[in-house]
Amino acid sequence: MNDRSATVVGAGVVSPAGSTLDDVWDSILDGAGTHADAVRYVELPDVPILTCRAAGFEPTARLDRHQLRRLDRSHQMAFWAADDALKSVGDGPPAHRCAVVVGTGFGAAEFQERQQKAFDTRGFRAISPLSVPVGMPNSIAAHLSIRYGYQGPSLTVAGACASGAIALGEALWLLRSGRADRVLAGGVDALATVGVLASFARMEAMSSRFDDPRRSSRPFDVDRDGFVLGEGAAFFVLERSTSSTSGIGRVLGYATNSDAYHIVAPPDRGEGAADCMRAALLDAGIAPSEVGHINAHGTSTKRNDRSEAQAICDVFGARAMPVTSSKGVMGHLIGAAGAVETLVALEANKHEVIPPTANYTTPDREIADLIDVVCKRRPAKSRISLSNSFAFGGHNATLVLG
Amino acid sequence: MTYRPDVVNAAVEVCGMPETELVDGVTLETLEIDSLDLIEVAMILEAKHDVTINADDFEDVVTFDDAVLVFDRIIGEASGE
Repeated sequence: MNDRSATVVGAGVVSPAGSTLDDVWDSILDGAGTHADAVRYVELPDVPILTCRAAGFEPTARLDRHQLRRLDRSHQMAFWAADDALKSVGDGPPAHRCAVVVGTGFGAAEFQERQQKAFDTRGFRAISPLSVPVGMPNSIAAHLSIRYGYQGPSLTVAGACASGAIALGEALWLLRSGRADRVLAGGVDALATVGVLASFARMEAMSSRFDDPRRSSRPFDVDRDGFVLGEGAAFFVLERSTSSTSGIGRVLGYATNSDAYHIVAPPDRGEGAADCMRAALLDAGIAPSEVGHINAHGTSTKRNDRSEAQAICDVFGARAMPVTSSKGVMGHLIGAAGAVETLVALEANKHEVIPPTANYTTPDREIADLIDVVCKRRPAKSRISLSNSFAFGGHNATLVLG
Repeated sequence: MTYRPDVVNAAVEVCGMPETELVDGVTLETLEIDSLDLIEVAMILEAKHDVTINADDFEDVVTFDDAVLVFDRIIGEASGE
């Protein structure tokens, strides 16, 4: 193991599985099903859509009316998670040595859709003057830097479904390169809006199990029929590991690369994903045999799950590595996915338990021959795990966590 | 006539402060009302009174009372007062 790790000294979360660390872990460990509902929008009366809305998230409890009005739901979720991440962390380095890295797939989608609707129905003068400051991609990072007075780098990464993981990896690099001494990093997306949901629905990438939402997201299962869109955020306070640093876990290594193959589809054999996992292990100085489990990207789509299984098999050997996916419980949180799943993997390491993959009931032979999908919680053989995130655009990211 | 009650309601809606803070002479800075808030307040009054209000109109505004006077002038002119 190397000494280039970052220690997670604080964490906070908003998710469909709950908005405290304990609630999320209990729900994931329970693995009882997807926290989804089938909803109908006025604009789409004939098209039901499954979504996983955040649970236990009450922005009015923490933000005043003025803040609520001036922020998109994605900002509000980021504030919630970041506040919780920082509340148990003591005074840190000087402000200019503190950085922010935010991963988001879409940014302020709900706010932007509202502005578009206002423009379409009432014209130019109905557009809010906040459209740019709220809607610009860097808005969440900027607001976090203002909220906490952090004057170091304030960065935004947009790597679609890998955004949250890439943000944490960038934070690790900021610390290693000496450009910051503390980094507030994480991912967020709040995309349960009619425009985004309709767009994903048109791609036919989403589950249509409207009659049984609890069973809708079923990663690696033979009956999987697409992902379920969720919303959430997770933020972490990271500092360089020293002999005296204590926290809830560590980011040991990170890699990111690109498939350079197709804008939405992974290659069948997942070569890019496999290379990414190998590079992350190398970066961490960890041998494959030291890894206790993988928190997979595991979206519940036909192609991703098959491709990822092949990639894991190529790196670790056939059925050699226990694999779990949190998306059976929470759905796909897009830009927040990698961050929230990192939190789950850190909790799994801490408890030395691998949580189950919810709704994995009938193995897909094509996958079951390649990887060992965890369907019931089981002890982990080590406190080291991988968290995979793979994205539209061919962005791959793997974090090694310990 | 003054449209102060409308301005107060709009300011409370946009900024969320209690109405009791909008006392004589209080500055926008004290109220933490910035230029973007002021445009949002203006949007509400535009919709209610069918007028057009531009950010330039508030160039010299320092206090809440100053802002009320600007709104009074613009809305008053538009309504032929």
